[in-house]
Amino acid sequence: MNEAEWRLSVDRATCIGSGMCTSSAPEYFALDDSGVSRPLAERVAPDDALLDAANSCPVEAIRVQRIPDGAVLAPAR
Amino acid sequence: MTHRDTNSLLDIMRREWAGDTYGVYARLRAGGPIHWDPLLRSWIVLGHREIVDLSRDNRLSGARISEFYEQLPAASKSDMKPLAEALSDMMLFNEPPRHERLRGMMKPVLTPRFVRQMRPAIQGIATALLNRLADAGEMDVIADYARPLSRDVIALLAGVPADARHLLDDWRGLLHEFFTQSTAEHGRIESLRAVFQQGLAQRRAGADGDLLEQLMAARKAGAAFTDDEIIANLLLLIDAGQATTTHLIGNAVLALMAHPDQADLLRDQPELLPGAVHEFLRYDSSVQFTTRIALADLEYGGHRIRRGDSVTLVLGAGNRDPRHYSDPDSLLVTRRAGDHLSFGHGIHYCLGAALSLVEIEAAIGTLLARTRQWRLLDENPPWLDSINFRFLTALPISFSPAAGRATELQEVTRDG
Ligand code: HEM
Ligand code: SF4
Repeated sequence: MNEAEWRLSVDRATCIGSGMCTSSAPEYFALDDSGVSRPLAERVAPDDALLDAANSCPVEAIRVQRIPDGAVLAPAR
Repeated sequence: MTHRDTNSLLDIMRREWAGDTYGVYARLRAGGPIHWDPLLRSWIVLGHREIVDLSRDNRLSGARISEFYEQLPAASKSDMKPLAEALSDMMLFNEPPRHERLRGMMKPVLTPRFVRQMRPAIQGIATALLNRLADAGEMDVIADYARPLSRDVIALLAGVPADARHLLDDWRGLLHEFFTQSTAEHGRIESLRAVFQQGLAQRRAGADGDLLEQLMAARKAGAAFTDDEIIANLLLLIDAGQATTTHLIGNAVLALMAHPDQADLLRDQPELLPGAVHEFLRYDSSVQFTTRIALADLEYGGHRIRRGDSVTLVLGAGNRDPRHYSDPDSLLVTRRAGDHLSFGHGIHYCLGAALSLVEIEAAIGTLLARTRQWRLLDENPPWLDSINFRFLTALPISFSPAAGRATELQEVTRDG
């Protein structure tokens, strides 16, 4: 993956709080008081662990976008 | 059984509580959301919050095969060796870092994206079964409908060819086999091993793009999975994915029969189905608990859990926690129930969740569309004797076919 930054978001209405992303990538996600996942930072350096988290989320609530053009990198369609 | 005045999770097996799992939980809650169960010799965790917290605690481990195996007498050890080896290679009984590696092997084929591609095939299986059943006016929801459906989906997923599908019938839980030191399933496991090995060999030669093909591709790309690891985790998919889904569908039908207004609501508004599936899982899951072993002493909720203690996370009790869900004992298909605990929580969160959601949705959606006026043919359908598995051994019902063959109705099931 290349140098640009990525934008990380979680659709809070969709997240079912499975705790998978927060366990597999705790440096990027945390569950808040209502049991929903929240990205710890919105802009992050590229990391394959994020693509993996977004592709594995059972309800596809995580979205990883490339910053300059907003292209969705994961989940894959 | 001797008289006793202690409440225990084991009460589920007592005659007077038979089938009333949730009544037992309500009684146990009086002892607090987490407490030591002296008869089970385990901590039992009943609260939603507590189950979530402890599922994320890496001092509690799901790796519980070798400890049990090591303490077996030598003779049983050699008998149980093949099963112990297969179980020890399954992601479910491993912790990081090996867990991630093993889960990574199967993950690509169980993503929501991959499951979307399987959706038409799954719907096709449900439709074909009902084409055969709908005019009869009677069926055993388990044997005639839910079981063949989940079996065929798993066979499709794991690449078990039609002439070997009988190997998936009457499947007995491998963990149960292991803990009861039974060798009854050895023959079947060996036969399946041969089927998988042959499948992998064919895929080496480059056949179609299914799970086995993807596993081989991953291996070529440098992921060093052994044949044993691949086969063990294919067995896990069968073990974890078949009976669980079958009986969840059975429990959902039973729940809808006890709440006919909710069934009518779903017939009127099939778009509510995806959410309803979560509510079915919350309301009456086929798997009631999972077990962990403490790797270190830990303090939690005013309790001291010691290294080596067993901790039973009672998912089915968390699903009815009155502190978390209002009116927890009612099935409400419009409820936001996505945070139920039936798929577990944290790193072991059910890898088949996306797949089974689609299976359950197709099964219930098609049944609702094609049949109505469900009636129990057995007022008290029989439950399996188990404190963990809420499995109806049969669910015979009568019904009337829905007017017209209503094939178009099935298209209503949402497209992901
Ligand atoms: C309604 C149906 C199902 C229920 C209630 C269910 C329940 C569960 C639960 C509670 C766990 C976590 C166990 C633990 O934390 O110790 C789990 C894990 C797992 N399930 Fe399911 N399951 C279902 C369907 C499926 C299906 C269809 C598949 C496969 C196709 C599957 C494959 C797995 C696997 C591989 C794991 C282990 C994941 C890991 O250890 O990382 N399950 N399931
Ligand atoms: S994996 Fe998805 S559903 Fe699970 S907590 Fe993360 S965002 Fe929510």
